[in-house]
Amino acid sequence: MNVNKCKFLLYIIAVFWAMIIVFPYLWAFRISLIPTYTTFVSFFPQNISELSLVNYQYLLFRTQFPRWMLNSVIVSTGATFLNVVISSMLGYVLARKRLPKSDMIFAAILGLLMIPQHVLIIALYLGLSKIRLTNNLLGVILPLSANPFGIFLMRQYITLIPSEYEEAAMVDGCSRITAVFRIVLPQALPAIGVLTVTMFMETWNNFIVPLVLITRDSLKTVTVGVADLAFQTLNVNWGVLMAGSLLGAMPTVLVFVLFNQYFLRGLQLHGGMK
Amino acid sequence: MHKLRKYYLDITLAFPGLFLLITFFVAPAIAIFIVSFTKWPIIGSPTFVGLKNYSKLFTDEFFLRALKNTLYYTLILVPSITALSFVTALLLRNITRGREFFKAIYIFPMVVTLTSTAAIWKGLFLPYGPLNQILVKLGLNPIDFLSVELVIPSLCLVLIWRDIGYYALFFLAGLESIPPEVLEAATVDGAGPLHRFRYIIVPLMKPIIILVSILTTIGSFMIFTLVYVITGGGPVYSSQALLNYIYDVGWKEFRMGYAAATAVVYFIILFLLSMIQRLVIERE
Amino acid sequence: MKRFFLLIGGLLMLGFLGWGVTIRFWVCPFVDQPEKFLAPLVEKFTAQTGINVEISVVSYAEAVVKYQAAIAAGEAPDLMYLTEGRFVPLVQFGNALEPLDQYISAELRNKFARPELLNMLANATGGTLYVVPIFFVTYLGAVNLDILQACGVSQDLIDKMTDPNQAYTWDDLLYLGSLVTKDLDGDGKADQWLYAYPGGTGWIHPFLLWYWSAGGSPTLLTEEGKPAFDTDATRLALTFLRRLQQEGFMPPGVASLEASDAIALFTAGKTAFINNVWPSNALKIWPQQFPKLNYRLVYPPVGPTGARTTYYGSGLLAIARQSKHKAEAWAFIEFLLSDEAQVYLSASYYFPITGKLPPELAADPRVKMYYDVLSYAIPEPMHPAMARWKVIYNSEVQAVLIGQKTPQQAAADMQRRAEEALKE
Repeated sequence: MNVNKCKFLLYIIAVFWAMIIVFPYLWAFRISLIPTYTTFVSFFPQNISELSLVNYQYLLFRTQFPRWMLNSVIVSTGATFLNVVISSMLGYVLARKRLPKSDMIFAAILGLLMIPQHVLIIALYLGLSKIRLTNNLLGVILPLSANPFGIFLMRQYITLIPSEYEEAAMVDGCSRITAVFRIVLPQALPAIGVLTVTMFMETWNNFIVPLVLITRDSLKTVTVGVADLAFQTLNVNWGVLMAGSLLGAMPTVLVFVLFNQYFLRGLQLHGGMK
Repeated sequence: MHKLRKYYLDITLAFPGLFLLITFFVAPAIAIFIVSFTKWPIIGSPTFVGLKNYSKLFTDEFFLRALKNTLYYTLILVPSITALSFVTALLLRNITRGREFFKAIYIFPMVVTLTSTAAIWKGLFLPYGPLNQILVKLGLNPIDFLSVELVIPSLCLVLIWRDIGYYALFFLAGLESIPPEVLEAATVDGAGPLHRFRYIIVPLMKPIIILVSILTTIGSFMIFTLVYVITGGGPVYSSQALLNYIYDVGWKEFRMGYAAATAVVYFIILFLLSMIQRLVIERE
Repeated sequence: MKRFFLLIGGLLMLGFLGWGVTIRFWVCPFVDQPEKFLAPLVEKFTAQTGINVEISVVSYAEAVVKYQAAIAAGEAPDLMYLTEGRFVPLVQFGNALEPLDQYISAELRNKFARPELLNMLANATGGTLYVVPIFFVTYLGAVNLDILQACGVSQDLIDKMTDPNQAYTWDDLLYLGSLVTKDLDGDGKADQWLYAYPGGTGWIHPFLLWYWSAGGSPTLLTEEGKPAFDTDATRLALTFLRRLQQEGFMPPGVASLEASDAIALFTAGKTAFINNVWPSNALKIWPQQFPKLNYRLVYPPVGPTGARTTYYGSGLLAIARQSKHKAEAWAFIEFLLSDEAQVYLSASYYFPITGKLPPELAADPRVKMYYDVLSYAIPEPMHPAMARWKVIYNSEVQAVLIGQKTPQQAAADMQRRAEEALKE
């Protein structure tokens, strides 16, 4: 009896917390559906005619928002792809300690995790401008393509894959490179899945690199674009800002929904690995 | 030459990664380190000033304020997130039906991009926003969430709201890896739930507690976007975190050399902090 | 004959080369959606000259960052929108702007409503002119006529405030305060005051308005080039604000009051006087959003040292030294200074620097007041340390308003901190 009451209480708490988590997004949605927002507005609309899609219309037709989404998609898919390829390769090399001082290299790479790009961005900017890659999506993709965290993930996971498999294959006459691609990587698929999802979100989310590197409005990414909307003039257009925030978050949410299991599994991997 | 031949494949595999890392991380880091010894207004040429930037840092009220703010963020965030996510994990652990559903919801804010979340919360904190609306409905006075005194706790609220679900999963993974026999044995021995918690669960969770603490500490030091979007560092620099300070000083005050020196000091502080936290693990 | 054809050919070639050029113009949002606002002007310009103008919007907060990054990378836009507080470092640190003296004809110089403006701007950068103002705003004061009349303020005093040929002093303000501060609902506490100073502000001008009124240095520097904070002007201003507060003429909580909230108190009819009304509020927003507010614009007061000043800001245009299309960029600047463009630009509630107004505005006596004060208005100080100084003086003012420091202490601390902030 007592146990059931306990469980019931826990459920209440869980549901309550879930509502708190979701509330801001619901509210943002509500605000995105009204033309102006300068005073208290009730959460539930009085009648349907109060609602309107002006903000979305404005966002889609009068700003470069669709272009921003496209830019973010380009940057994220490009950087994620490069990250996966590079992390897998480098992760393998480091996991099998194939290079001299592999462990030291790995430790150094981990150290890089503590250097935020905000600090490096001016050097990045000047370097990229010398090769004319500013105001260019490729210039945004490249600095995001070698994420130390990705390398860490792959290296850790591949370490857990016994090397006997590829050794056995090589004894059978397979070249190492084929062994890597045919045997190791397929086994690392869960990690690759996690990596893809994580890197997509990280690159989508990245703020400082496109902020500094891109000035042309048509090349901005969604994160920078939305932030700009929050700064327009003295009077922020809240409806448009909320609409932009929600739409801009859609792709990562979509990725999360579709690849849910990878994401959650990755956290368990992460938690378990330490 | 022979040696290189031996490593041929490995170098090919490793090369793209190492090249990118060196080009986009190591080289800029070295460049910034060198710049920290100069005075450089970006659009002009740098002039060498030796250690002057560093010595000025320690008496600079603006740097010290940003440092204080960042420490304040860390002090609030690390215990809160660690404790609350642990509690959430316990909660999830004891919920059998719909656990995946709740997990997904709690993690959701982490999935939404930070600029969107920041913009949304910027609206939530408005004087006529929903938070104040609720307060008013309850008969209380509206709160100015972004005032000088409250801005850091308010921003911490956003980060706590966002991170709890994420870190709860770490704890959950840990909790699920506790062999049930251990707990059963304890129950048989007569240990009540609180006893079990204190003397079995917590010690077994120590590594995860440490991990989450380290991650949240590093995360607190890396605050930038949230402050940038919601307050821009204001009001009057009271929410400005170290990274925001570095950005502002370098770009808006034309003192990139000084910003670089601040960045080096920032890195040293962060590095030391993680080392200390790691030493704490070793001790355990 | 041959020479004639060569000439025509040459002119055609020049025209052809000039035709199809695109200049890049970065502009801050002085209005919502500036690229839409400027589109008709750009169209006309392109039709006349064949030069295209590509407009990008940079937020005020990020303008300095974006300009620097672009200049450092060699990708500066041809034409840059700047303000008084933003252009000096670009010249001082990077010599990034094109000197404009050679482009401005004497005729053009005379078109400016206040020709000395150009000299003032040139002096900030060692005598060479690098920026040209296109439009401006000045700040006026305002009083709530309903409150004044209800409290028996004499028409004489009101006239002193609204008549350009008369003047009112700080003492007049104190007197006004004693009349208007009232407890209207009988709960023992005042709910109507004279003035709300935004002690919690992060804005530049609230303190400066009083500091300059007390005779403070327009550049915040002494003649020797040191910060001018430990001066009589500071002490007078701080003492006056503290006095207003102690007499109860200011609402409670001014020490942490934000600037926008201070304005809101005026528009809500809680304070009788305000000293930072800019044109868009006076001419558009207040009549629209606060139709019941019976306000009257007033000139700035005369301070204890006889100084009469107000704040002004303008939209400045500069050409990048790196630009490959300087002549074309200048052509656009000249176009924006033409009568037609200037009249059009007034729709932004920034006033045309040449004074060419559309008929409705030209006939509006309030607009005339804004132009009147231009002759003694002071712009934002153009010192590179302004951002830090602003924080310093605002926090010291706050300390005085909390009662933590005396005006003398605050002035001394301001000075010390300002000098500290200057140490590179």
